[in-house]
Amino acid sequence: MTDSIDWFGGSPRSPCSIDPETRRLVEAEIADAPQLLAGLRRLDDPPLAGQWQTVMDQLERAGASWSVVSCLCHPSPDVQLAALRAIRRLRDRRVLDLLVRYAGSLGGPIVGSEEATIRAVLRSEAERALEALTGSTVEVSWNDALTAQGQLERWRGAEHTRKRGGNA
Amino acid sequence: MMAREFGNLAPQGPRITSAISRPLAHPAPLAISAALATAAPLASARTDGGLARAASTQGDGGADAGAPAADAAGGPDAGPAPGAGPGPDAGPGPGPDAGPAAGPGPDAAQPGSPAGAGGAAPPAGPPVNLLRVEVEPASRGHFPNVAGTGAGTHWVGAASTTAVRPFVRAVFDSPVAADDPRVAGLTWSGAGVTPDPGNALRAEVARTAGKRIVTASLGGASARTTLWSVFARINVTGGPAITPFASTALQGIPSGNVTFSATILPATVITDGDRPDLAGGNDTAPPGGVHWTGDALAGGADHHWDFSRKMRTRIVNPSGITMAALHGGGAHPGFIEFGAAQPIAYPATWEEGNDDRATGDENNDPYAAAMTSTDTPSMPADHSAGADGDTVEVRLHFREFVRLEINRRWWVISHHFPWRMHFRMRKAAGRWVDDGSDAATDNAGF
Repeated sequence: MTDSIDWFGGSPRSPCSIDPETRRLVEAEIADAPQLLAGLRRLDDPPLAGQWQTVMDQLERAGASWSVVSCLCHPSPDVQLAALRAIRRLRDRRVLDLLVRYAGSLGGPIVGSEEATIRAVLRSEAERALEALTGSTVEVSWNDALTAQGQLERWRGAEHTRKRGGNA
Repeated sequence: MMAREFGNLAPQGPRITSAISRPLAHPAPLAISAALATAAPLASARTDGGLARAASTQGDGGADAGAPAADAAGGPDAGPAPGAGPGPDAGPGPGPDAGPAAGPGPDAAQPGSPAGAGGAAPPAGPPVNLLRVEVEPASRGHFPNVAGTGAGTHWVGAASTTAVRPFVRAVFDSPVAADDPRVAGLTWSGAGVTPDPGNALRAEVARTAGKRIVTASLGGASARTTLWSVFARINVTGGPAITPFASTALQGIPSGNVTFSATILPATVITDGDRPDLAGGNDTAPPGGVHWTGDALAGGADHHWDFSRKMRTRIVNPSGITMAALHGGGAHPGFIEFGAAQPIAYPATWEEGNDDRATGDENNDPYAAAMTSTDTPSMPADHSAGADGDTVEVRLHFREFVRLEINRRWWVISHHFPWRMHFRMRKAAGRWVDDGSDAATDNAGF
């Protein structure tokens, strides 16, 4: 079903790829909701910004957390940003692993003007989404990619331990 | 120029009063007619005032309510004006906004006695009735009709002190010549409205920022419409400033920050109950091809209103360090891609922002909050590149501006606000360190 969505196949400009398990969960989520599938397809165009916000609002209203988190792998940083904000509001902890994986892709120095600015906004929103899903503060040294990934993995491990300890 | 722009924001009361009180039957002063006839076409105003002015070293800023002096900025009065070539606004072509702005709303004629129906002089023909006032077709290329949030009729254009002014015309229920005695009593009123001395049926409307209600009256009947000349005043709310030089194990990282807001004039174009409906998402992508990263510039707008930015760049690299060595971007775009794109020039198209391919760093919805834009340029360089004593300088020059999509066409509605950051690095003890980076609200030293 999602094979008809171009960006689900990955793009050189995508920060992450949609793994088979996530794809299966998205397809299960939209199996009985053709309007959601149509919305995800609309993100192919590339969409006008007003259009993707409409799609994201639609996914969020439907509580389609897997579809929303899959949008983190869309090549447009604006779609990613809208997805991060929707994830923060949905507070569906099931998408935490993919969110951590996405956040790990944001580390490292950035050359540019708007490029660097947008990346900083995405990092900040990713931190807020992680905190909204877990209630735990996350601090990442974003300028170094390996350091950032290590910090996020350790944070995820600690969070996993905390949850198993009965706090979740 | 900015001083003139805002100096002219005040209603032009005395001029209007004298113009309206001038007996319409009197012949037109030749000088005024000639001036109108020789007004520069918008397209040439755009080309000359836009790109030529962009290359000028004359100050264009100064008194823009706190805006710094600009050493190379053009402005919306450069021709709100879209770019080179025969753009859609180059002529008053019969676009989708070319239709008459009729309608039974409050701007339609209020009933009165049909002109020519009474009085001592015999009418020249059947009485004529005033139906409405509208921007005449020749002016709709730059002042198109925009649907309103209420029942009134609205026409919207970019404010300007130099571009050609729009004309409105009175429309009757049957064709009538300007010298027809049945319309001899037609009068025009409204701030910024100047009757055309050579044609009683039309009037010129001022184009400095403002809302102008234009009313035509005849025989006790009247009709009106509203013209909006829109301007966005760009304000610096932070910076531009160089942030403390950062250094990781792998890179030296020069960076800076700047923040802007925009004040929309007239404010009532946002707040009036009956205003042109310019809220919501954009209908067409803004102009431009791709950002240097390869992303489409089409992603640079998410509303009809849009904060945007032009960029030009230069790398001064006297030691010839390869971009691959400097890279700094890891898996992300870095000096390899940035270097391959050099030199980056300001786009020729006036409305194109070549450093604006996303909107997450802007607020483009002035109905929700003030329009804002932020930028945090960064140029990380790998410590492994170069040798002690080497220097690298990256000159980043920008022009911040606001554009507005009016009936599927993008217009610049602000001055182009210049600012820059010059990142200077020097290699010392095996690491890149700051070498006097600076930032300013000008485009000096490129």
